[in-house]
Amino acid sequence: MPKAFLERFEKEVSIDAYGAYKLDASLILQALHVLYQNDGYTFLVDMTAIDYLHQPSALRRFAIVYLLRDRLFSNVITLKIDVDETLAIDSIASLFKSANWAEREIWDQYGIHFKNHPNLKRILNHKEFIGHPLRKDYPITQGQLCHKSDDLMDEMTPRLKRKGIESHDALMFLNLGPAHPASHGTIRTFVALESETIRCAISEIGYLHRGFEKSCENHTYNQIIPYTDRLNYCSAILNNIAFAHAVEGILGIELPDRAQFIRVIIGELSRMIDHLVCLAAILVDMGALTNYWYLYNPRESVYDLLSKLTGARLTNSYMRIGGMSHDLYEGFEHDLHVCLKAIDTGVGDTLTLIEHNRIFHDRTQNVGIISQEEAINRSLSGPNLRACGVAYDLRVNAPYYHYESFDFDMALGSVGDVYDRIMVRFEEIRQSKRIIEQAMKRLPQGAVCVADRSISLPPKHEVYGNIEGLMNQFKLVFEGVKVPPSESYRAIEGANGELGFFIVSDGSPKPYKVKVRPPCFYAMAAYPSIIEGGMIADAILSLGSLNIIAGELDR
Amino acid sequence: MFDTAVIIETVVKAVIVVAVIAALAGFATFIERKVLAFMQRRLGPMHVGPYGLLQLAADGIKLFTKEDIIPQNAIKPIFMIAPVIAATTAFVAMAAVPYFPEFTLFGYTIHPIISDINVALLYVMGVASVGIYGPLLAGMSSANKWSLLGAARAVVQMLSFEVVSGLSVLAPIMMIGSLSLIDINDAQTGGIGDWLIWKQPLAFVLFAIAGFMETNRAPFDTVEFEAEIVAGYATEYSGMRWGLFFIGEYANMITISVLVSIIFMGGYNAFWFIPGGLMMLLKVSFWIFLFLWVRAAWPHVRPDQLMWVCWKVLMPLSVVNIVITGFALL
Amino acid sequence: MSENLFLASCIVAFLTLFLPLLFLASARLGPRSETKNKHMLYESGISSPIGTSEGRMSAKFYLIAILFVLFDVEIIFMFPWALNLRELGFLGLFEMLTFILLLAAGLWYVYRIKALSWQ
Repeated sequence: MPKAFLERFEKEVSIDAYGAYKLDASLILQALHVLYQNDGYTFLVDMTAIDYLHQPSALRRFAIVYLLRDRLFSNVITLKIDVDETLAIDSIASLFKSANWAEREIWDQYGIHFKNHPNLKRILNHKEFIGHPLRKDYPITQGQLCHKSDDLMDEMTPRLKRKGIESHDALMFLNLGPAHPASHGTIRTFVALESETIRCAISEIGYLHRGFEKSCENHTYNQIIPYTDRLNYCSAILNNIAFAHAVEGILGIELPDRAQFIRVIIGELSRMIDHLVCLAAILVDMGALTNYWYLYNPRESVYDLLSKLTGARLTNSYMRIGGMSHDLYEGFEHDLHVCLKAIDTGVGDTLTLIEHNRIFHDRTQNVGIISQEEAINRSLSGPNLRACGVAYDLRVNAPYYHYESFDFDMALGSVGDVYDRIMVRFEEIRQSKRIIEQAMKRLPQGAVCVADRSISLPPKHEVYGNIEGLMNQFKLVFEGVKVPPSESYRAIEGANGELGFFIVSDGSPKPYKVKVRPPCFYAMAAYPSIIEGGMIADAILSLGSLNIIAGELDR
Repeated sequence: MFDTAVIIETVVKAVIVVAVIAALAGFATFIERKVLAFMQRRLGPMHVGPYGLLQLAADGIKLFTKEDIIPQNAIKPIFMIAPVIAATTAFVAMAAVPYFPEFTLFGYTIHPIISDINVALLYVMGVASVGIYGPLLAGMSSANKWSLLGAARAVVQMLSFEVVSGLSVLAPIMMIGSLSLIDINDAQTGGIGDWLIWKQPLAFVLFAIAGFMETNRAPFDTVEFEAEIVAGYATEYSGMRWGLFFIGEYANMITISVLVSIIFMGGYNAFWFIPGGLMMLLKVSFWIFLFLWVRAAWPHVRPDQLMWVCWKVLMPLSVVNIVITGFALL
Repeated sequence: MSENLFLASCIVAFLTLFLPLLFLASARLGPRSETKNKHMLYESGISSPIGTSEGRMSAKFYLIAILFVLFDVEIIFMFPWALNLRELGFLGLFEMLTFILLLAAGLWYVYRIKALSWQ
């Protein structure tokens, strides 16, 4: 409970139907200051806007939602303000650096103006784009053709000026990406170089933007699950879980134990392969080529297992609202054992090659440092934040799926450099293995879906055997899961950070609004400040170590 | 001015050396892919011919028939000549390198060296460093920023290792008192115990490191490392022009292997029952393998770290080595 | 001997110059098609980049180049001494030692003014 905040704004604050603190738009900056300084809510999880055009009960069309975590990272509070007709509110970028990009996104998607924002321009959509696509009156099928690339000098010149560089004579402007061998998908970083030292950097994202959130508004909850596969495609299962977990939270259902344990097992396996991809990529970026195969071969064996289990290699879509599509297959335990052994060998071989290698140490240690305070202020999460030494892991701080009952350690770094980020990931692979082994031992028998027939499909013999089963199947397939009206945020520990979904439901089978909190969105926002002052070679390593996945970054 | 026989002999030798080394350079690419593949638990080229051997020919044909693209804004004559410089200097450096012991063919004694001169070592090192003009000119004429960065890196790298390689061979020269590679070879006739590597271990290590830098091999392949600067100076090159850079690089690798073998590892002296020619082949093969092994094992350094290690570690060490050698000899 | 070397170098150079000509002739074998975009410069897919590669390069590179010239020329002086080490004896060694000390002092100075670091 944010005590100081409630005392200070006793009269102004009200609590709405879904548990959010509502207050007047003019007070938001003060309120956040109090929350930040007196109550210790220093971590801005996410912020987004809601367009109430199709909900006539709302007084104002737009509302802004702020999600904050306290120092222990276990409590999330929601702050909500209504936006008046001017469509302008105060920017909080001066308090939370992470709000900079979040506000740009809201401006881009909803057209809400932020006063005193340092650089309010589009972020996910192209600069030639007309309109604001997440507004309810923007037709979902209306595409626009934009092709002129942004030269980014409108951001570069002021930023250089702030650093005291007036003359551009000695600088070389260079685009690292979008089509660069080490740009991890399609991420563009525009840098001003002096010899090879990066004096100033600006990131541009959105090259892979495909309107995930808009698409969600037009699909039933279970239809969205394949879309979530494409967010962080290196650990598709975790994205499935995160979305299903958020919806299940609104439905207020508790999964059967077996389903929870399977989610833990498959989720941790996903986390391992996600880390393997990140580590393999960064080591190749460093020239340590051999490790790529040492780390990718075990990943391949995990994919064999996943395709046997789910029918797909990369985009598994294994989870359903209220459980999962089917139970584990016969002989799963043996295959899992083979995978874990392969990962163990691969990680061990890689570590023997690099762990005591002087070149590896010199390339990674004290490179791309981000301090604890800075990392929290910029809303970094997951391994990137733990590498700075912040003990923040949702599996520990806000356990779900019986994580509190597993015996595993949180890997923490000390400096927050590339080396720490790499080593934290290596350690997390080991810890994930421990969790999987414990979960396999304790895996209970039972159903893998909730018994509620308005949520999960009936067994096939019922569908074919009696009218009730047939009706249940028919209604669920044709209508989808009906989710009661709510506005709620729920997160799990994704492979590269806190992966949460803010879902606004209106009682229909389709979500009214979905906002994903992609962990690497905030990591990418922090990236330019991490690489400034370093060299090109360091910038490449920093990008790799933050594990930016363009799929979830651009959505 | 020249005896006709000498001219003919030199031409024949030169044709053989250029042809053989060019072919070996091509073959080295195949070996590299195979060796790296085995170290990385995969098979490498397998589909073209037995064990993928014809992959070599396929790659050659592909390179031959590729379109030669010259980008807009490039300084055309320099852009076109740069790869030729890289390849030519790599081959010209071989003019003073002896490969095998002399042998008799059809009653005619053949010295397997195109030209035996008394300053061979200086000549080889001098010509090899002219080779830096290849990447430099390529990078500056491409009108591409990656190329320019690659060229700058090439120059910084060259300026750094050149001092080290020069200083590190000084100590062996002091011991032998000659710059001729044949003299250096002949000074090590007494079996493995006579190899200079035992008397000059430090110089050997320094020279080997400088060799890795000179050939742009891992862990010093900063000049065209694709994750950082795409393809460095060769970013805008395609087809056979790019192929010439490639051949030059592998020819350089062979030259360095031969040089290290001759100066520090007993050259082409026969060992036990193994004839000298075979010994030389074995040593050169070992060095090529070492180049690949290091590439498979290590990450690579940053350009400033390379400079740091050259100027602040290797160079003082080689100077110290010279002083010690001087006192020990007198 | 040196004439011989000159001859050899020329022949090898000519041969290697001949090789690319052969290669370029063979390039006619392949298909050719001229399009506007094919000759565009590559800068990570950005079609209208800021600035060209013809701007000024950092002075760092020139500084290193000049240092190199200084030190490399000094090494050239050491080669004749190394060849005649035994004839020149201790006097030569001490003379060279003085020279090396001067060189080392120069390196120390360069190191102290941070001419060898990139930042």
